[in-house]
Amino acid sequence: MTTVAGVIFLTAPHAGPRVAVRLAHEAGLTLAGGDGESRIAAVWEAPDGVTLETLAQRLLAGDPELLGVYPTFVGEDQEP
Amino acid sequence: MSPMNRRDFLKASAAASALIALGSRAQAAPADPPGLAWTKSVCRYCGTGCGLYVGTRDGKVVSVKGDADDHNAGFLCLKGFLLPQIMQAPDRLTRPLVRKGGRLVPVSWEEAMTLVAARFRAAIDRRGPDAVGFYGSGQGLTEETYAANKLFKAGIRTNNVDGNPRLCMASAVAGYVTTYGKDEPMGCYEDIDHADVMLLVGSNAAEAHPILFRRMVKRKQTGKDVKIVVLDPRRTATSRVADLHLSFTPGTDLAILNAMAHVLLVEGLVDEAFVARHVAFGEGTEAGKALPDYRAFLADYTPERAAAISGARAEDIVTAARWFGERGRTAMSMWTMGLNQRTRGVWANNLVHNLHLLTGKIGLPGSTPFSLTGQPNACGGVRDGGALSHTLPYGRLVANEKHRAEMEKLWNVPAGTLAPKPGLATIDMFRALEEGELEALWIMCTNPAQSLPNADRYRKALRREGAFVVVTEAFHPTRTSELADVVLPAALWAEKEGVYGCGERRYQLLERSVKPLGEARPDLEILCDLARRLGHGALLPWRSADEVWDELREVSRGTAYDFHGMTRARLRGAHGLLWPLPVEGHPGTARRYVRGEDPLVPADAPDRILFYGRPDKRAVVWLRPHKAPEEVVDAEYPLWFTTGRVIEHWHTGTMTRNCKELRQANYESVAELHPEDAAALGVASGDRVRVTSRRGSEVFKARVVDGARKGLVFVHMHDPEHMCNRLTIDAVDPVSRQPEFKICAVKVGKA
Repeated sequence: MTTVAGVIFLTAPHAGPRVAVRLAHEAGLTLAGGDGESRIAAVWEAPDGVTLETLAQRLLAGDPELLGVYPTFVGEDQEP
Repeated sequence: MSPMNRRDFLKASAAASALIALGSRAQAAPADPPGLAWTKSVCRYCGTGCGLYVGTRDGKVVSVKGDADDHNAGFLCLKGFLLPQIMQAPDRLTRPLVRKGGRLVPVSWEEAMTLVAARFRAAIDRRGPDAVGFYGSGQGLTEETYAANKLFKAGIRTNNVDGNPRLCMASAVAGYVTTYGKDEPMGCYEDIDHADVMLLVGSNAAEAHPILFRRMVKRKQTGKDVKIVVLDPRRTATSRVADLHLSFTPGTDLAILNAMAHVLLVEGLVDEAFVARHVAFGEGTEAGKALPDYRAFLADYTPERAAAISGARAEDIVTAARWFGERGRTAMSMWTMGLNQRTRGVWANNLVHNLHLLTGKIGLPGSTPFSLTGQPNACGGVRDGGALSHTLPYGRLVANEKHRAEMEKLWNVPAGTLAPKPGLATIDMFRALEEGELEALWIMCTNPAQSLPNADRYRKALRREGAFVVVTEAFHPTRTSELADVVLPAALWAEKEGVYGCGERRYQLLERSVKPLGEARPDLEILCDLARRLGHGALLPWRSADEVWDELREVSRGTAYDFHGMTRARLRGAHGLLWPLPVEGHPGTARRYVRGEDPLVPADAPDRILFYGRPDKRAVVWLRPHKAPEEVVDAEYPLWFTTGRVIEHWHTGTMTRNCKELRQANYESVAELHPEDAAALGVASGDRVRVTSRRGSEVFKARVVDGARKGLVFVHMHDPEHMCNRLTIDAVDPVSRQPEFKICAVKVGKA
C-alpha cells in the first residue's frame, strides 16, 4: 500500500526557494510548485501515513527554516 | 492520452489540493475517475468549521479534500483528511441495543423505541415533566438540536435541556452577554489577516485549532512587526511561535489581565473618546460605576503585584499591555478553555473584553475579541439555537416572559406551555440523576461518562438503580454507551444532512453523501419518532431537515441572529454564510455592531460602532477582582493538574482513535512532568505514575518535558482507558455553570 499526500511546506519568510532545494533531495517527494516566498506545494508518497508523519517531524526538526507541514490531501493506493 | 490509473489520480489530486492551497487554481483540476462523486460538507471535528468535499464511490466515503473557496482556503488538518476512516470503523453501531440481564443485546427499532417511550412516559407520569432530561452536543446538527429542544421544552414541558457546550463555552457566552448584551463574537476569522498583535489566552491553537493557527503564522510572517503574545502556564506548541510567552501559576491570569489594563490606563493608552461614547463601567451585576471607580479598582493591580500573584514577570506584563495598546496598531484576542473552564471563567472573559473596550480596538479589521470554539456546532446548534437549560432559540431566555410568549406563538402551543423556571445545567442535571430526581435521561451525540469532570461520580449516577439512560451514538462501546439502558445507532456525519455553525457565526450546510450504515438513523428521525410515541408528533412534523431549517429561519427572524435570508438553496451554493443575514440578497455580516456592515446598525448611526445589545447601547467594562481557583495546591496535594488537547486526537477519541495513522501518535494519555518535579519524584519518561486528586486516581505513563511548568502536571483528555476526568473538579462558575476542568490539585507517585 502507498499513501499519497498533497502537502504545503511553510517556511520562514523568503526561505521558500532555499528550502525547496533541500526538499528536492527527499525520497518520495515531488515538488509541485511554490509562491517563491514561503510556501511550497508538493506531493509525497510513502508506505503509510505514519511514515509521512515521521518524515514530516524529521524535516521540521532538522531544517530551522521549515516552520510547518500541512497536508492538503491524503489518499491511499493498495498497490505498493 | 493514456488512461489515468489510481496512483496517477491520487498524485494529481494531491498536487491539485496543494496547489489550490497555494493559490494556483489554474493548475488544479484533475479529472475525477469514473464513479467518484464529491459532495460539499464541513469537517466533523473542531469549531473552526473547515469546508471540505466528501468523495464517495460505490456508496462509501473514500476521500475528502479541502474547500479552497471556504475560509480554510483548502487546508485541512490531518484529522480532517482521515475522516473517511471513521465511517466504516469496526465499532460503528448498526443496530439498537437494549440492556437485558445486565448485557446490551441487539433488538429491533420498534422494541427499543417502545421501551424508551414507555419509560419516559412512566417517569413523567410519576414525577412530572422535570423527571426527564435531554443532554445534547455541540456536534449534533442544528436541526437535530432544535428538534430535541422543541420536543422537551414545548412538548414534554421541561427545561431540563442542556448539552456539552456547557462544558466548553458557557463562560464565553456569559462573557459576551454581560459585556455586550448579546452572545457570539462580533469579529471573524479574516480579522487574523489584519491583526498586528494577537493575544492568545488559555489557547493552544497550534494543536486545538491548527488551521486557524496556520492563518496566524501566515499573518505573523507576512505582516509588519506582527506580535504574538501567549498567556498559558504551559510552554505549548503555540507559545513556541510567540514573541512573548507569559507562563503563570494556574488560575492567576485575572490578576495579569487586570494589570494589563492598569498599564493601559497609567501609560495613556486608553482611547478616551471611544470610552466616553461607547463604554459603561460595572461591578457585580450592575453597570453603575464610572471610569474613576475603575481607576481606583485597578490601582492595586500593578504589574509588580500581579507578578507576585501569578509568577509571571512584571516587565512581561508591561510589554504585553504596551504591544496591545500601542496606538495605530490593531489587536485581536483569542481564547479557549484555559479561560472558560474556570470557576471565574465569566470574569476572565470580561477582563479580556475590557482590554478591547479601553483601547477602542474592537469592530475594526484586525481588532476584535474572539472566543475560539471547540466543537463544530456548539455555536450554531446549542448556543444560537438556545438548547441550554436557561435559553430559548436565538437569544431568548426561559426566564423572560416576553421571550416565552414569542416562542409559544412561533411553536403554536398554548400560552403558558413553556415553564418559566430554568432547567438543570449539566452538572446539576447529573447530580439530579444521582439523587433520583431525574429518572430518565436522553443523551445525544456525546460521551459524558468520559467527558464530565469528577467522572466516576457521574458514571455511578448513570448506572443508579432506577435511572433510565438512552444514548444515541454512532459508535459502541463508548464510556457512556457501555452504561446505558438503551443505545440507538445514530447516522454519522456524511450519512445525513444539516447545518453546522462554527466559531465565526458562519453557517454551513453538510450535504448527505452516503446512506446510514446498517440500521443507523439520523438523530432528527429518531427524535421525531420519540415525539410521535409521546403524543407530540404535531410539534415535530417535518419530513426533512430542509423543512426544519425553514422553521428555524422564521424563529430567527427579527432577532439579533436573523438569518432569514439564509435559504437552503443559498446555503447549498455558498461556502458558508455569516449571520446576521436577514434577507436573501444580503451578503452576510463579517463584523457585528459596525455601521455599514451589520444590518442591525442603522445606516445613519452617528458612530462607526453601536453596541445595540444593551439598552444604553454601551458595552461594559467590568471591575472583576482576581480570585483563586476552587482548589489550590497544599501539602497533601502539592501539584497543579491541568488537561487539554493534542493535535492528533479529538474529544473522547471515539472518532480519531478509529484512524490508524492517529493511533500511532499520542494514543495514550501521558502525564507530562517538569524535569525538576520528575527528579524529585524519582520518575523518568516511560515510568508509570499514579496521579491522585481528592476525587479519584488514575495511572499514566510519565513523560518528562521541558515545556512543562514546574509544579504542573498536564494530561490530554482523549484517552478512554486513562481518563483525566477521574481527577478533575466539578466545581462550577456561579454564572455560567461551567466546570473548572482546567485547574485542580493532585499528588503524584510511582505506580
